[in-house]
Amino acid sequence: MIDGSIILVGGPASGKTNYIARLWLAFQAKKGTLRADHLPENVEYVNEAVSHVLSRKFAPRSERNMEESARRDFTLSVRGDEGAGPARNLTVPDITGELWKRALETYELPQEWIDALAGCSSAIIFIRANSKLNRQPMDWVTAREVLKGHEDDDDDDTEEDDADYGLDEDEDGEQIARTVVRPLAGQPATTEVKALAVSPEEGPTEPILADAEVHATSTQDVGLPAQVGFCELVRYLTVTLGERPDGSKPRVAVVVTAWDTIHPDTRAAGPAKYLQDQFPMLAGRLRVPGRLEFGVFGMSIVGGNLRNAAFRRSLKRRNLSDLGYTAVMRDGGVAEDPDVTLPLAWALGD
Amino acid sequence: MRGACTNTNCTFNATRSCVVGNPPENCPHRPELTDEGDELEEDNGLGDVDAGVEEEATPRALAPVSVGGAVLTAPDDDLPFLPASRTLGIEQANAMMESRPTCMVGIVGLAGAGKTAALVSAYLLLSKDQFDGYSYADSDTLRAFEEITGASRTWQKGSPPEQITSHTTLSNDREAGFLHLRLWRHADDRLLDVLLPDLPGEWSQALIGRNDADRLLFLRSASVIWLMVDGRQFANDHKVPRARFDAQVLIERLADLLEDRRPKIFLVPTWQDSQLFPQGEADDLSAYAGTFGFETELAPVASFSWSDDMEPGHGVAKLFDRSLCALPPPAEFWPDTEAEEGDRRLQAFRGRA
Repeated sequence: MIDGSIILVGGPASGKTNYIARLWLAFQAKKGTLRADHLPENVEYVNEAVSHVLSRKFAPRSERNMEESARRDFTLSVRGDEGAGPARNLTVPDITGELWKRALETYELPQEWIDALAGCSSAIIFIRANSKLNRQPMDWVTAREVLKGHEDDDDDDTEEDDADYGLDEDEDGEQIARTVVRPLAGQPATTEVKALAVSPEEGPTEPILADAEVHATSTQDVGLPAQVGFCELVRYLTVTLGERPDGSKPRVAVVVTAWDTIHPDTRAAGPAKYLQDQFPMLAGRLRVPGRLEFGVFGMSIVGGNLRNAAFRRSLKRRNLSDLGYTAVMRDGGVAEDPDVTLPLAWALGD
Repeated sequence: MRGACTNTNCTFNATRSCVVGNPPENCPHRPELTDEGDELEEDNGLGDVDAGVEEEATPRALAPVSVGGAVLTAPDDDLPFLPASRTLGIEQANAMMESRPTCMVGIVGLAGAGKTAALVSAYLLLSKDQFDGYSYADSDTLRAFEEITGASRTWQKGSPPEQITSHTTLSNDREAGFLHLRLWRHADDRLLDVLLPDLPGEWSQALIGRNDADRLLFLRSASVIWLMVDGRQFANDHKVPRARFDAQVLIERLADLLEDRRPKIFLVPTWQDSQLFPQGEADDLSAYAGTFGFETELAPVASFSWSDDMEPGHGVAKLFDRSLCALPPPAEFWPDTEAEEGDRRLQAFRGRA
């Protein structure tokens, strides 16, 4: 039997747990490209998430202490090709979003996880659409404000006001008392020089943002812009993921979760276009695969927002494994495939 | 050059003024830093520094291996590190240039000329996909870009870094080093690697003032040089003589430093949103550089803009584009040659075939 591991990558609330729950329903209902022969023994963690979804609620953010030693990995035996492929043991190590977040902030990751990554040749990166946790890149006005303070530090060019110099002073800078005729001619000249010296500085001193806003933006620099975080995660995977058994490139599926929350016009252009518009740096990085192979998917686990009361009511008594879809590009258009195992199957090489 | 003060009662390291009243450069409490030590540190950061050399808040403080025993206790939570994407050292930059075609841009200019602003501006343009003709493809120094953009690391006031050092972990000070960008050029669908040094203006000042060129020797590998000047000073009647003088001395110093190499110099006046660069000044500088054999081009930028008439980042993408186009065309791989008598056998064989 072939062994394989897949690592799930994503910050807090990126949709990892909900995806696992929905995946579980697909396995249990024996639907999709990837099939599980039997349910594994220890599924407590997954069941917890499944029970949330079955009661038509999104699983809450997995609030767990990352120092907690008990890992809740799960292992199951799956076959590709709708159950016709060879059986393989699939291990899904359970790295919490908090741990990924910390890895981004401090570059630190416990050795056991570095080992786990090296043992994997597949990964899924979860990116939640329309998440308020997705920080946007700095805008021009904020950057200008930040840089202004910064440039003042660097600027050793003393802005000496030379308007006072050269007005017939003696060597100690004292006015020589013979400028009775000067004021008339000298006055306009003096003001002109002053205006010149001051004018370049006038712009910067204009309050562009209210003080409170400037303060808010300057203290915001905890955490990276979302796309930079995603690029860094890709970089971590580039340096850690192991080769596939057949020597081919490790595969990384990029899954845009909460796909149904995106405007239909945007959805029609497909997940890759969505990434291009929202996270251009990540899209650029995915365009240049290098050591990894990338696939981009959109994912809606139940086809709508469970926090919407009307939608939630509409699901009463429905079998949730019939709902939800994967958005993939096929034949030049976007297809909504009811098979939610697609990203996993692709990442595993099917 | 002397290092940090070792007198625990002295506040020199923080305030730059000696409580005992010693002149800073002759103070016996400040150990002398030798050139050999610096070079070793540049190699691997673990050079055999003279015993007793202790510096605070730098990675070098961890280096006195000859004394034996750890100086600092290990942090409680010593998790392994993933490689950081901070500025690259000379060795890493060399490795990159050896492994693939890389355009190294030499950036010189005084403090306040807008070197950092131009780098930040390019990064912001890329992060919004507004970089004309190019898109972001990758960067080995993503975090360094974030740091300078958010100004979360700044040059330490009064004591900017003295050397380019390899920088692999988080620290609180900004280190001199190279920034890397891989750009995707839309026009010909090519990926281009660019290395941009992020250096304090004091280095250029020291080059002008006392021809302190050793740490800038990497400029000999530069494909092009950006000579950044504060455009406002050239438009200011009172400041232009000094600005002109500094730029000219810098050109002369560069000519010395570069020996027989003459990469193209881009004269980059910043703050175009506030003052247009006087064409006469540009012509004069260009003529001056010409006397040293340099070819120059004027490439004004407005890294940020206070003016409604000019978009922020004006000229930055163009500066990159022209720098990348300034590269000599790649040599033809194994060109056909005419066989001649006395050629080596393999070439002769190819020629006849």
